[in-house]
Amino acid sequence: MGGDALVVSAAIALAAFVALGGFLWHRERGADRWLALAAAGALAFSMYASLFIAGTDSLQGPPQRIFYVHVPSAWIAFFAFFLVFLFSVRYLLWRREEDDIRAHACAEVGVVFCTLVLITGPIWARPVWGVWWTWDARLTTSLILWLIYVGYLMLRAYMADPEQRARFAAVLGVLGFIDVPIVHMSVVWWRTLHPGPVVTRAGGMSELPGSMHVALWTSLLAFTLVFFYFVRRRAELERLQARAEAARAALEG
Amino acid sequence: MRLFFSVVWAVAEKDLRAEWRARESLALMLVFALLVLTLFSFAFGPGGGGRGEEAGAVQAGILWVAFLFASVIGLSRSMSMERESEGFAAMRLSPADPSALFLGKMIAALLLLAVMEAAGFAALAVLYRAPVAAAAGPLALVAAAATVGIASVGTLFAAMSAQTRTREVLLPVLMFPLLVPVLIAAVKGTAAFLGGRGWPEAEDWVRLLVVYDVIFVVASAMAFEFILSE
Repeated sequence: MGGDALVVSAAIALAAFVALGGFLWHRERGADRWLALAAAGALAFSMYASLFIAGTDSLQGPPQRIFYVHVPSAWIAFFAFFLVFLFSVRYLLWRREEDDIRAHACAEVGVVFCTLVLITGPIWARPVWGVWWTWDARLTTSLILWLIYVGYLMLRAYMADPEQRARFAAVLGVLGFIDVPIVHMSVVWWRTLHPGPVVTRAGGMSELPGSMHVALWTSLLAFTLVFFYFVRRRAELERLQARAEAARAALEG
Repeated sequence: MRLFFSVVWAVAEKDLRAEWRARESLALMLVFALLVLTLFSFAFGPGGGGRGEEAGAVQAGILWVAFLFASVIGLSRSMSMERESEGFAAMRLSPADPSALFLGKMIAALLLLAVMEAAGFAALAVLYRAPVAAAAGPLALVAAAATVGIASVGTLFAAMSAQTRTREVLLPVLMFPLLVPVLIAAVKGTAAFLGGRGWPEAEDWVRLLVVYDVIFVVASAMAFEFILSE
């Protein structure tokens, strides 16, 4: 990649992040305001770290840098689906609407991050493996995961009664998550080609050079902040929608 | 405990009796499975027949995709029948354990699927010249282990999708992703016997199916309460 072009595009991206941070700061109130600002700042820094601080991988070259988007997205997606499971269990136990709203928000944002995984994976695989897609174990598990939670969102979309929708969705949220390790195991046995886990191997963290760690962990922090910001906003939207629906029902009734 | 099993039996018997009188689901499933087996032969050309490892892998794949598609018909009809005759309201009012109601519905579905699969294996032997008879016992075991998984997840999600706006259309979208391990294991286990390599290769897959069955029969039976409650 040309050095000048890289610096110019990084400068444009930085300006975009500053603008985004300013806009959100202006728009949001309370805790969301700080969360938005921190997320935008962390994202800008993580981009800088993954493009400039982290060294170029000697084998894969520049394409390896997509790893700093791909891996944190995968972790966040998985974390999101774990939260869906947790809030679903809580909903089934105590039937509080709030838990349902949170499960829904986590599922939706989780699907966004899972989509990001499925897009960045092939972009990386094309130059490194030579193919857009291979039925490798982790890739396949991510795809099945995506399908399960898209199904979750569709189930919600096709149900009118909020209470029944919450119950059904919670059942899927629990069963879908229980299925994940079994899906993964069956797919691993089916076939595997993925690069082995490079971050937490038995030998500790020695596999990755230090500069790469900086980029990876700041990306993870940035993505986590973005995730929580999205979930909070999505849940707030859901609450407003519920209020609007209740108001409409009161007017009509 | 005796009450529990008498409820299971009563529900299963009711479903099977209804099926015996109408003979709708089973006929539909059989014709549909046969149709899928035929369509695959058109899609892949008249090859894929005979013996050997490669042929066995193709045949097993075709067979289980056909079974999975056909199972949607039986599972969703069983639940749309409940919806049309206010069965869900009745189950809600009933003092019986929801898990027992679930197991009854599941066992009835299981038996329908088993009949369909037996016919499917026979059709495979004829249409694709697959060596089914040579390994009938082990193949039946693999099929049984896979079908328990399909029936448990399928019955639960059929009960859900029957109560949504889209009715049955949603069922495959919900059920297939969760059944991916069952499909993989069933295909691999079946291919091991059709391809002639037998137990050493099928063993792990059958174990996986049994683990899946235990987890999902228990989880679905427990979850059925939440599909009924109001």
